[in-house]
Amino acid sequence: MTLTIFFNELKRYFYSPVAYVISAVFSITVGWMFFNSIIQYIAQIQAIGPGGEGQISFDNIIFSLFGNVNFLLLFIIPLLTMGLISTEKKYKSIFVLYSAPIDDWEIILGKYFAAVFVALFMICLTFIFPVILHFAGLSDKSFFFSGYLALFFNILLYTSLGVLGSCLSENQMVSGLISFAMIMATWMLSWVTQITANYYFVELFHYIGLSLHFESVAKGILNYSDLAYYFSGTFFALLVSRKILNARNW
Amino acid sequence: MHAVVVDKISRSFGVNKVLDNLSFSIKEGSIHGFLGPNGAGKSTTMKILSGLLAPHSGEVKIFGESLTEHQKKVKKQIGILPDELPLYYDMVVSDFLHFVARLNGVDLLLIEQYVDECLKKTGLEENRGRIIGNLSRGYKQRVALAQAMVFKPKILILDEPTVGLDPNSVKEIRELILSLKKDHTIFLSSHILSEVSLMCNDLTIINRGKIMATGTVEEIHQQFKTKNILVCRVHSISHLEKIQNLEYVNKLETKQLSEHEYELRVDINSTNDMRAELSEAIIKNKMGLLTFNEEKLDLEKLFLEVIK
Repeated sequence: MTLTIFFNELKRYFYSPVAYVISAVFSITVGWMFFNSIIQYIAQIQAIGPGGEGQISFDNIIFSLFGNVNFLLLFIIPLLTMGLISTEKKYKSIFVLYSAPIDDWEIILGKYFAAVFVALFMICLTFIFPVILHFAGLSDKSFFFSGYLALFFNILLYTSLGVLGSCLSENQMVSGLISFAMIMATWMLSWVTQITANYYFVELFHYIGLSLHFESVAKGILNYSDLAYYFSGTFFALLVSRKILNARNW
Repeated sequence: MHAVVVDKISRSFGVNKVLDNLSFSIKEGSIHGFLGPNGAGKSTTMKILSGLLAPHSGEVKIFGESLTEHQKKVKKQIGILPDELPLYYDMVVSDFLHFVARLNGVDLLLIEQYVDECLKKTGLEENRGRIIGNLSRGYKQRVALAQAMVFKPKILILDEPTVGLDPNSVKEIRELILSLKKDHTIFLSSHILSEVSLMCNDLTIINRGKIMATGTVEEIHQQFKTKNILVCRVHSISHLEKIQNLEYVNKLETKQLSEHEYELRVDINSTNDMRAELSEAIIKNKMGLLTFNEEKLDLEKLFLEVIK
């Protein structure tokens, strides 16, 4: 039944203006950021003078582009996920799901994958940028592959936190804010390393913070600890979401 | 055979014990009424029966199978219309019913047929393409009822199905529920006692989480009969004092209905059945017995008596 819920959620996303409005805002913002990166790149080349193209790496544009998209996801994912469970609880349509012969996992996963799909759909809209850079003469495209892979992992984790936030309140604005705070926290945990000199703390917060893993994957260095981080974080958030749904029986 | 057997279920919310050792059963093919004042635990019971909530103790059996142990299998046999309508207001009526049918395991090849039949039964055919949020209150209620029955469950649990509707819609929904009796066992809660007395064969009355009475309406009448009053109509009241002086008569009231017809309201000071003795006394005194009835409490009085 996960698929039934998945397709129903997708239908509801795309029948309402939500997915289109968020996609449009996302595309315009990312496009504007990309345009600015190109302008900056050209300005830097012109400042150096003839032969400057070889001295300034194109990779910086790509990294900053993925960094910007990742920053936007901080806002986009809570917007996409805030109503997933909270509005169902508020309008009591959750009873349709509760009374059906399905497990709470199927409810959580169906909704989760639908939100991931919509987020990936938005990411697909940015595929135009590698195409533009290809025609501009960029030959090494491996950065794009690793960058998109890092975004994909981030989307998996952020969306699971979004689903969790949506389970925590019947008010979708509150759910959205909780999701935003949790996603923001994954970033901020890395910053804690700057205020302590304790080796163990630094190592711990380096690991549980997102930055290290995002940068690592985006640079094409994918190791088991990154995969373990993303998948265990995602699984944990979904598990807690399921527990919250199941709390009605406590 | 019993469609539902509720065996000593209890449920608390925090320190508040909402249901306390509740036991009753629902006969297959009947419309079973569920009455109780606000906060009595009706909605909680209905949610437990449909698997929306789990009891903290006790067991619910649906056609002999435990709801907790065989939840997936048993839930397919139960459709619920909760007190708050479970609707996706942004969805189109037919899409919503397709979704509910699929969710409840209806085969893909049969879904269209099930949805069509359900739309026809609930009078929603003309509204199948409309967005639920744009429908009137009465039609939303119909859609909510349709979602409970679209996958053809054997048991329908209806929590106050006519609340908030205009009189015309109330009449239509009642007729619809009565028409569903042939295909479903119906468990219905309502605040409207006349509705329950019109529609239900059996009754369970609950108060503060405890069963006050359960059985047929007649059985409950017998159980809670506090006064034994016999009402008869006679031609003449010429020997009225002889009736009044009978040792088992507590009080006698007379009312003239027409020139040769009187109504006697005899309050019997015993809970024993004195109909034979009283009718014999009336005939013996040549008062011309026309009709003879036992006065029954109407459902409203009975309900108040039970929850007292």
